[in-house]
Order: sequence, then structure tokens, then C-alpha cells
Amino acid sequence: MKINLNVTKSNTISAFLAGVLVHGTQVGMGVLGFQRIIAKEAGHDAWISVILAGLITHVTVWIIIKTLQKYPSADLYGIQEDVYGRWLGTGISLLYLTYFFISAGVILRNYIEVVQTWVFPNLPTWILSGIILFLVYYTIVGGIRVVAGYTFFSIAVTIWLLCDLYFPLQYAHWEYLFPIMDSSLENLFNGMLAMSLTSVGFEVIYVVYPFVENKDRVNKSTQWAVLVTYLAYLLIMLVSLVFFSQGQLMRTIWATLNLHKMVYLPVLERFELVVISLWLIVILPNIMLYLWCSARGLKRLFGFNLRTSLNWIMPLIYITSLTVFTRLEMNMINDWYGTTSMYVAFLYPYFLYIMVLLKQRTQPAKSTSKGESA
Amino acid sequence: MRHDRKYAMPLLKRFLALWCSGILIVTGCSDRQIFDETGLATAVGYDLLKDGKIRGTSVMPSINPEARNKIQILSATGETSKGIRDKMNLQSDKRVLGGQIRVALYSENFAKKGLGSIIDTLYRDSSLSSRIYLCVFAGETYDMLTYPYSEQGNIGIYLYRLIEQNIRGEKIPSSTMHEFFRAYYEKGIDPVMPYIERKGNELKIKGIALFKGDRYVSWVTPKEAFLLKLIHGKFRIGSYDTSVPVAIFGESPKNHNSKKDQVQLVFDTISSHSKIKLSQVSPPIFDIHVELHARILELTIPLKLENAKLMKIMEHGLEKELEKELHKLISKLKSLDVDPTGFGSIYRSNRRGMANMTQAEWRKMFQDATFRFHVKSTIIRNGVMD
Repeated sequence: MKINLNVTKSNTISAFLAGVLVHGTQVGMGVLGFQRIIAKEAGHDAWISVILAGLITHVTVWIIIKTLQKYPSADLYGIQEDVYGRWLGTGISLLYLTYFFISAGVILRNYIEVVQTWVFPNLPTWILSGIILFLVYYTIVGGIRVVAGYTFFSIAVTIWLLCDLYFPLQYAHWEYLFPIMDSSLENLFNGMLAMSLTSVGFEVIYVVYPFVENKDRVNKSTQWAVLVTYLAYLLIMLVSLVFFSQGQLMRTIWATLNLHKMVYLPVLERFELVVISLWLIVILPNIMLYLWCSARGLKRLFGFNLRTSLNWIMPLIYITSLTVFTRLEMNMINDWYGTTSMYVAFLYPYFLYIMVLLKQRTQPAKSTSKGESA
Repeated sequence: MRHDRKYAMPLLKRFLALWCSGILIVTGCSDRQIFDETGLATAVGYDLLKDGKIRGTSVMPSINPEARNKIQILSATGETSKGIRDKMNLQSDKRVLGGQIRVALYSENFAKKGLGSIIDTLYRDSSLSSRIYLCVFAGETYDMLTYPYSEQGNIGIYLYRLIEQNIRGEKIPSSTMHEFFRAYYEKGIDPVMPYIERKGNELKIKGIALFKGDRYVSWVTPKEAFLLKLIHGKFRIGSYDTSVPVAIFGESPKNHNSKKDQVQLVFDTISSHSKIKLSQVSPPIFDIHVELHARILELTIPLKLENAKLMKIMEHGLEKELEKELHKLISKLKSLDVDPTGFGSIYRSNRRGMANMTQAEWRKMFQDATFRFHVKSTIIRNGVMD
């Protein structure tokens, strides 16, 4: 396998779109119900945890870009092979690829659960899952450019949902936010860790990077993307904290949807149903990108082409999504996935960066693309 | 040949296309809710029967043009609200759905026993709105909903408008399901609901029902409800009427009739905001600064208001009167041991490390607490007449 990739110009995306991809993958299912999970740890200071998580994410993304910039045009799979050697590299890449795959599955399953709880209790899973996965397949086959374009579209048509927070704000009790910094640092830290399920998504840049045309500007655009994500999270968290009392928030699984329940227009009530429908547009880029990364991995490791790898992946995720889970099991899966993603997306990049540094110290960086690695 | 190849699809693709269009068609049929086949309840009432069962009554508009009654009323008894709904379905030609419920009523007796469990099901059910108004009815809700009102039309919608109109007009505090739950699950505040009664053909909001936890304990008049909101809240278009002794205006009563010793003053478009300060922690002392701007709308003696001094006197009279009433209200709340204004939340938000304060702890502190009111009023306008 080549460590560095030469992407044809017709298949590249701009640095701006790379930022869009990062933002689009970060915002997804987590944001519908992250308030409760964080407030469980940090109480009414949960918004501080959001800021802390934001700072950590900024640093992590910066480290990821730093790692990538050590190579002219490599992706995660290439770097891992370069650093760990053939066998270990392939093994770790396989694990990472599985993580991408599981991420897509968790998001899909969570969305189906929301639809079945809130809108159509009788809608069979296989239909919904089938439709979503068909759309995903159709877009991924078009390549990264189509995926990026779709992601941009999805952000453009859903960003206005933030304006709806005006309605719940009318019921705000600002004293719920005080006293500030009442929770211990340990609790704030735990709250930050609980954010991981909502924060992850930026790790797709590991795989997208070789496709970016102007690589010198990736750092800036991804940092902006993370900033926008966390500003939105902070806003939603603050509104939730003043809208719900703590005891109530602990009992509310999808607090963001409950916020939208208060929206009331003369011609349209029960706005949460609109939000849930629109959320399909929001989660599609997540699933697309994760599956694309996963399929890219198969291509890079074993040389399958994208379509062949997708033909393996899609039936697998379809069958997995049909498994019936109860709410408790979903909670367990989400907790487990949250912990895993914390290690994979937040801690591993630092480790990889150190490994890359060590590797390049002993063996100066090969600036030109080289054939088979050692 | 070339033409054929261009349009021929591979088998897999053809299968996929068929599958997808099939799915799209099938999904269109999922969960249809045809308007003609659904009965949309607009109001529900719950009573507690003597044997401990719950009687639910729901009001649905009848869309059959031949029907003589505009509304259809279903009633059933059961242990749970959803069990009641199942029984109601047995009586109805349409599927009873709760998505349009605007008002949920609870009888006074039921509310006294505690509403927690039955409201819990409302919050849990995602098909219901969070903006449902909850209220307490003096008497049995069954009697109230089945009463043949002459003018109200759909009683559910009528009730909804009645409450909505008065909340908008800032006569009573808002009492949506969301707000009930917020207060119910918060340790430092007790929920409130409108208290509704029926007098013959008329329905009216008698006052505000006070809850202790999920149990109804007593009710206060709309005037007291105004004060509750004045303590902790904001007014933009409130109104208030009061009386002050004539003597403070320096005028001796024209006719020495004892009844005329008082001047009735009516203020409206009151805008106010309050600031509550915790001045001492244990026992708690609250300093409540209320600042309000009002317009004088009516006064029962012909005073010439161009005199700035008179205005000052009137403002001062209003302040004194409000402070007196506020103190009265607080001692009433203390004797009932309820805290609908949420002093507990304010106490918690002003002290560190109180996040785990229990309700019992707060109730004890509430009894020992001192409340000092500082009302500052400004009369900004006096109509078109001096």
C-alpha cells in the first residue's frame, strides 16, 4: 500500500468543505439528548463542561492536523502502516475501520429509535433503515465530492433550527444557572468526558485529508468548524439548563426535542415532529461519512474498490440495524460507544502523533511518495 | 445494440430500483391517521371515585354534520389514564387520540390525593403537547364537562381560550404541563394551576390552586396571584386595583360616610421587575426589591393629578399597600407551608454547595425565613386627563 495518496484534481474538495464535513459529522444524534448525560455529572454547571470539551476538541483536532501534515498527502491508514509496519498497521487500521462502521450503526439505530418513539410507533425498522441506507449508498457511490456537497446542503437547510430556541427561552428561569462553578472540578471533568459521544465526528478528517486541495488551510477551516459546533452546543445547553429544572432534565431523554415541543406557530403546532423529520437530513452526512471512511479503509488495506467494499458493508450494517434493542440496551450501547469513542477519537490521536514524531526522528520523513513501506 | 446497452441496467441495479420504489410506496401507508376516522380529544377531566378508581372524561368535537350535539363526550373508569383511553375507544366510532388535548382538568378531591402518577403519563406520552394547560376544578370534572352549556360551543376549546386569554393578559401565572413538571421536580418551588369553578351556566377562573409537591392544598385569589407574580416575575401588561384612605391626599372626606373614606385606585399596563437578594443565609432573610411602572386608569374621587405632590402621595400609597398585602400573602403561604414563588430555587442559586438540598430541608428553612419587601412604584401616565 502506498502511504501517500495522489488524488486526481477532479476528485478533490476545498479546505472549506473539509471543515463542513467535520462540522456535519460532529452534529448528529448526540445533540438531541446530550443535556441529560452531562447534567447528570456536572449539574447546572453542565455548560462549563461543554466549553471544556470544546477546548479539548480544538486541541485534539489541531493535533490530528499536525499529524497529517507530517506527511504530504497521507491518510490514517497510510500513516498507521508507516508507523507500525505492515501487520500491526493493518490490524489497527482494521480496528479503526470497525469503529467507523460502528459509529454509523449507532447513529442509524438511535435515529430509528427516535422516530419510533416520537412519530411512528408502528413503523417497522427494516423500512426506515432500508430507506436511509439506500440514500447513503446512493450518495457515497458518487464519491467524496458528492458527500461533501450533500453535507453542505444539510447544514444550510437545518442551521435555522437554532432560531427555534427563542420559544423555550420565554419560559427561562435564569436563576437555575447560579451559583456558577458550584460543581467540583472532578464533576465538570466527568461531564466533559460524557460529552464525547456528542463531540466525536472530527476524526473523519484523518481519512478525508488526502482529498483536500489546499492542505495549508485545513487547519484553519477545521478549527472554525469545531468552533461553530461548540457554539451551537453551548447555546442549546444554556437554553436547556434554564428551561428545565434539574430534576426534570434527569427524566428527559431527548431534551432538545422537548425544547422544540414549545414551538408554537399559528399554522403549525407540535414542531418536534418537523424537527425529527428534518433530523434525517442532519444524520445522513454522519452515516455517509462514517461508512465512506470505513469503505475507504477496505480499499486502502485490501485494494477493493469503493463499490465492492460498499457491497460488503451495506448489507452488514443493514442486518445489524434490524436487531431489536430496548431503551436500556440503547443506553448501554450509547454509554459503551461514548467511552470507546473517547479513547479512539480523543486519546488515540495524541498517541499516534507521538509515534509519528518518533518514527520520523529515527527515519527522516519521506517527502516524496514511496512505493511499499518497510 | 449500442442503444440497448445504454439503457439496460445490470440485474443488481434493477433489483435495487425496484426495491426502493417498493419501499417508498409501502412507507406511504405506514400509520395513516385519517381525520374522519380519528376523534381528537380537546379536553380531558379526571375524577377520583370512592372506590379508588379514576374516572376519565374526554370531550371531542363531533364532525358529523347531522349530529345534534357539536361535541361528543366519552367517559370511562379505570386505574390508569391509558386504561381509561382504551375503554373510551370501546364507546367511540372513531379512534380516540390525544394529540390535540389543550386542557387537562383534575377534580379537587383527586388533586388533594396527589396527581404525580397521572400527570407522569402525560409527560411520558410523546404524542401529547407540552403546552397542555393543567387545572384544578372545584367539584367533579365529569359534571362540568357534561353540563349542557348554552354558549360555549366546544367546551374544551372554550376552556383553553379562557385560560390562554388570562395568561396572556397576565391575570394568572402560566401553568402548562411543562411548567408543572419543572416545578414538581424542582426542590425549591411548588407548582400552581388555575382553579376553575362553575356557576350555573358560566365557567370562571376562581383563583390559583396551590400545590405542595403533587398535592393540592389550597387556593388563592387572582389578586394574590398577581402578588405572587410580582414577587418573582415580570409584568408587562398587568393590572391591579386597590384602595387607600382618602386622608393621605390631604382631603377630608366630602361626605362623612365611612365607606367613602377609601379611594379606589385602579392601575393598569403595569410593568414590573423584581430582584430578590438573599441578605442572610441562616435563618434566611430575603430582600425583595420590586420596581413597577403603572398607569392610573381609574380613581373614585375627582383629584387633580397635575400636582406632582399628589402623584408622589399616590405612589407612596400604592407602595405601602402592596407591601402590606405581600406580607399578608407570605404569612398565608407560610401557614400553608407551600412555596409557589420559588424562594427555594433562589436560595439554592445564591449559596454554594446546596445543589443537593432536599425539599424537607427547604420547607424547614422557609418557615424560619424573613421576607423584606421594598416596593418602588412610578406612575408614568394618568390617562388623557389630569
